Amino acid sequence: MKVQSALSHLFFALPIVLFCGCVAGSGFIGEQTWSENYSLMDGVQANDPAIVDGDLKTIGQSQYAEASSDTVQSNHASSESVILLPASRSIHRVVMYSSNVKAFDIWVADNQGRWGRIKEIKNVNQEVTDVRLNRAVRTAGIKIRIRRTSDDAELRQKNIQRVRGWRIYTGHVNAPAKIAEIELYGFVSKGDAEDVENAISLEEADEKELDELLEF
Amino acid sequence: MKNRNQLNSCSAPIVISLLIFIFVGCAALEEAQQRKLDRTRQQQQERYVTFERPTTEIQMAEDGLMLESEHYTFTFAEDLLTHPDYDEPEERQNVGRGALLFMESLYNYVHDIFGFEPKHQLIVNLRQTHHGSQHLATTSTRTQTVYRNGGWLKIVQGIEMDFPVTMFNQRDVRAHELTHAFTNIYLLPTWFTEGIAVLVQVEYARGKSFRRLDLYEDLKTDLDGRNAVQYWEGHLSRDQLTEWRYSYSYSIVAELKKRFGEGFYPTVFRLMEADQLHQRLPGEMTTSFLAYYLGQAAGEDLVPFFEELQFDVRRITKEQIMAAIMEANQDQLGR
Repeated sequence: MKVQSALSHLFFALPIVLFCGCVAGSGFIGEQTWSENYSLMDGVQANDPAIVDGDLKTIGQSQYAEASSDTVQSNHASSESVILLPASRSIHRVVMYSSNVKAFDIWVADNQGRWGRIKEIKNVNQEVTDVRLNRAVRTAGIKIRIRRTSDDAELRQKNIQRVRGWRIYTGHVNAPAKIAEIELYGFVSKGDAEDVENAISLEEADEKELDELLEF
Repeated sequence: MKNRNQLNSCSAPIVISLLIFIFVGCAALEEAQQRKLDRTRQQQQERYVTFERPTTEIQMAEDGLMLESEHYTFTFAEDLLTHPDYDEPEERQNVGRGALLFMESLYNYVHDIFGFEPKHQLIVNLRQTHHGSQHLATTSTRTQTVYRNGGWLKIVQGIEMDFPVTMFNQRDVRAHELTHAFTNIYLLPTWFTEGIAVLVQVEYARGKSFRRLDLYEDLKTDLDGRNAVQYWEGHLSRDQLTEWRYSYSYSIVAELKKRFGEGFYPTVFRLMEADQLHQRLPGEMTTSFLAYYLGQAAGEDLVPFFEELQFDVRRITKEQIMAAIMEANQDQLGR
C-alpha cells in the first residue's frame, strides 16, 4: 500500500519537475550571450600591455619564458603571453589576433597559481583565431604559449652559425609572436548584458552632460 | 517540565553564539581566501613581470618613422626600413605604438624601484644593427659642462637608447637599458652603473643573462693589484673579462642591497640628488665619492668593504669633496 502511494506521488511530481526544469533550462540557455571582453577589465595585467589595450592597431609581442632555475638563459626558450585578471572569471572563449602565430597552447592558472594546459592549437592559418573551450574554466590567469611562428625559420638562419660541422647558437631560435590583442569571454545572461549596456550609456550621458557644461 | 524550560533557556544563547561563530568563521574564511588569491596574484606578477595598461597618448608621424609618448621619442633607423616588417608606414605605426605602451609601463616600473626619474624625454632608436652588431644595445647620456653661479656644472643634455630588434625583443634587456637611462643622470662609475642595471635586469625583470659570483673567491685584479671592475670603461671596450665584469659588478650591488634592504639604493640616489655634488665633480666620479654616499645611506662606513674587494678607495668627508670641487673651479678660472 505504501509503495503504491509513493509511486502515485512520484507519478504526479515527475512531470512537474521535468516541466519546471525545461522552462528554467530553456530560459537559461536561450538567453545567454557573450560577456564583455574580460581582458579590458580594470586592473588587468599582462606581460605586454599592448595585447590588452583594446586596440587592434597596437602590436605587442609574446615574451621569452625564462627557466625557473638559476642558469643562463636558453636560446631554445619559447615565448608566452600572460594575462592576469583582477578576479576569477569563467572563460569559455579566447580570441587571438596575430599575424605570425602558427601553433600555440592555452594554459590557465588554478587558485594556487599552478598552470595547466587546456587546449592545443596546432595549425593556425588566419590572423584571427577564435577558440571555444569545451568546458568552462574559472580562472584569474591565462597564458598563451607560442609553439611556432612564421618567423622562426628566418630567426634560426640568423642565429645559428655552422662552423666545421658544429652548430653555434648566437641568440634565440624561436621568434616571439606579434599579437595585436587577446580577448577573453565568458557567458552572461541577456539581462546582465543589457544592464551593462545601460550602465555604459548612462555613463556616456553623464560625460556628455559634463562636456556640455564645460563648453558652456 | 522545569528541566525542559532550563534546556530552552540554555539553548537560545547557544544557538545565537553558534550563528555568530558560523558568521564570523565564514567572513574570516572568505578573507583568508582573498588574501591567498592576492598573494598568488602578486607572485604571478613578479614571476611574469606584468603591467597594467598605461594611460598615455601616442603621437605619430604620417610616415611612421617617429612616434612620441609621455616619456619617449621612438624612431626607426634607416637600416630597418628595408626589413619586410617595417617597410610600410602602417606597420611602423602599429609596432611603434605597441612598443611605446610597453616602454611606458616599464618606465613606471623602474620609477617605482628607484623613486626618481630623468627630466629628459628618452629617445629610443630601433635598428637592424648597432655598432655592426645585432647583440649590442646601448644607452648614452650626453652631458655638457657649463659655468654657472660661480662654478662648473655637468648638465645632462639628452638620453638616447639604441636597440637592434633582436635585443629590443628581450624584456630584460629593455629593463637593463632603461635603468641606465634613469641612473646615468648621476654620472656614476661604470662598474656601479652596470651593476645596478644588471640588478634590475636579473632580480626584477627576471633575466638570466648574468649570474651572481662569490665576491671573494671570484675576485680578479689588474696588474696594479686593483679590482678589475674599478676602472672598467664600459661595454664598448670588450675583452675576455667583459662577462665577468658585468656579473661581478652586479654581485657587489646585489650584496649591498641584501645587507641594507630594498630601500637602500633609492636612499643613495635621494642623498645624491639633495647635494647635487655629482654635477660639480671635476672628471669622472670616483669609487671613493660613491662609497661616501653608499656609507651615508647604509649608516656605516663601507670603505673597509671596498678595501677587502681590492678597490683603490679612501675615506672622504663631504667637506673634502667640497674642497676638491672648489680647488678645481679655481684652477679652471685661473687658467
